[in-house]
Amino acid sequence: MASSSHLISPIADRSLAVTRAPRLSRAARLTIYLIDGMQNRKAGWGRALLDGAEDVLTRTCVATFVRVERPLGSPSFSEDPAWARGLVGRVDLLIEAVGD
Amino acid sequence: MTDVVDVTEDDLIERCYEAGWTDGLPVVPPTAERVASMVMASGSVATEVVTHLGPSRVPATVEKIAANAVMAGCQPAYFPVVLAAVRALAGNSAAVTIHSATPMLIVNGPVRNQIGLNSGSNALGSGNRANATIGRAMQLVLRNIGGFRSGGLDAATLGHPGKYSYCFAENEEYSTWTPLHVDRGYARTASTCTVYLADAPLCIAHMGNTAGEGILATIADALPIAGTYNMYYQRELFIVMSPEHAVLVASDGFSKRAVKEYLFEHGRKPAGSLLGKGMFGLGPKVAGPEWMRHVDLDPSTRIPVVLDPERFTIVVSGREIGGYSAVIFGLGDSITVPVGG
Repeated sequence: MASSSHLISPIADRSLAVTRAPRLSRAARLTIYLIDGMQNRKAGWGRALLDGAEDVLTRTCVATFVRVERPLGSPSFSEDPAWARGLVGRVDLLIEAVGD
Repeated sequence: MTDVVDVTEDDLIERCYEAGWTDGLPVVPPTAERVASMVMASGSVATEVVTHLGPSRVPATVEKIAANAVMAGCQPAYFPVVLAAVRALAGNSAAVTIHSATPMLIVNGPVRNQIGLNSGSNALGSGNRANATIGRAMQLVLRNIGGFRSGGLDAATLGHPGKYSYCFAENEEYSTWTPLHVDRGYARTASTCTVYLADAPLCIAHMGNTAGEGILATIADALPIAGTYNMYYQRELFIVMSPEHAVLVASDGFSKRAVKEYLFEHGRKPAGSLLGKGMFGLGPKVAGPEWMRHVDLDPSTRIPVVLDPERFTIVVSGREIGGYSAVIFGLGDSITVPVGG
């Protein structure tokens, strides 16, 4: 039997302070690319994540959303600097869902 | 900051359930006295941040890790191994994945015998307090500090029983080869903990033929499975050899390096038999195998399960008698850290 009625919580007290990304301007119309870079795109996880991101962003800024279909077998966006360079000046925000 | 929760009910175990702190099994309530004893065993202060866990980089303090070790049933003497495991895990960036893999701990060096870790009979199984509770403490830390719980960051489709506890020691006394920690540059007198994101062990029986090459041929036959992450990514793969297998293989002149080279050459499958199976249907992503990107790929090309022989990690564990070894598939590469370092 425990000798005390006080328990030490095993849960972490806090998360690290995270530096927030610059906020998007509400006034300007932004071009936002949404890329499904999940390993198994057929499972639909990436699409669901991007749907959620678009839903949130639609409520916080004026934007044109572009779903980017990259062919299966191509490297993910973050691994393809040549493709990424081609986006400079055309995109205000790029969101990629990655994982397995 | 110490987070003290007032508990008025007698049944503190039920309160731990209600708080969502357990892995489904009853826990030892983390009273202030027990946690303080655990912290004291570390020689550190309670508020010291050992590392940060999970994608949110949550700080894992000595006290929070101690609370989880208490709940798991650890004795204070085990705590330095738990702390080492947490440090190694942080370096391994426990993946947020729907794969089943979970951290497996392998302990080497004198600390094994000092705290009574089992490296003999049923080493990967149940029945030993140190093995069971150190492995369980790691899982509770992941759950309670890292946030890796079902419905949260633990998104596993299936998971496996090692998510309760997955810890064993190398049977260095019954191995003729150098132990894992010496292979990784530590002195034999040092103690270490190695963490690998592992699937459940696949038991490999080989009996009736005591030739070392026969044993290795049986193990090699179990390696090239299309549906494993190893076959696709060709990363580290663990082989746990029983002392009997290891002695027979070594007595036929195989060094550990020679074992790895044999498995590298024989643990293969023709490319044509892999395409369209497992993850190979996803196509040659950057993280995937280089060979898939060759347009003139010869389907008879025999593909190894790891990229080079050194990606096999060989450890010896289990009782001295028995023709059983284990292949342990997993994700990524393991990390070894010193205990108490």
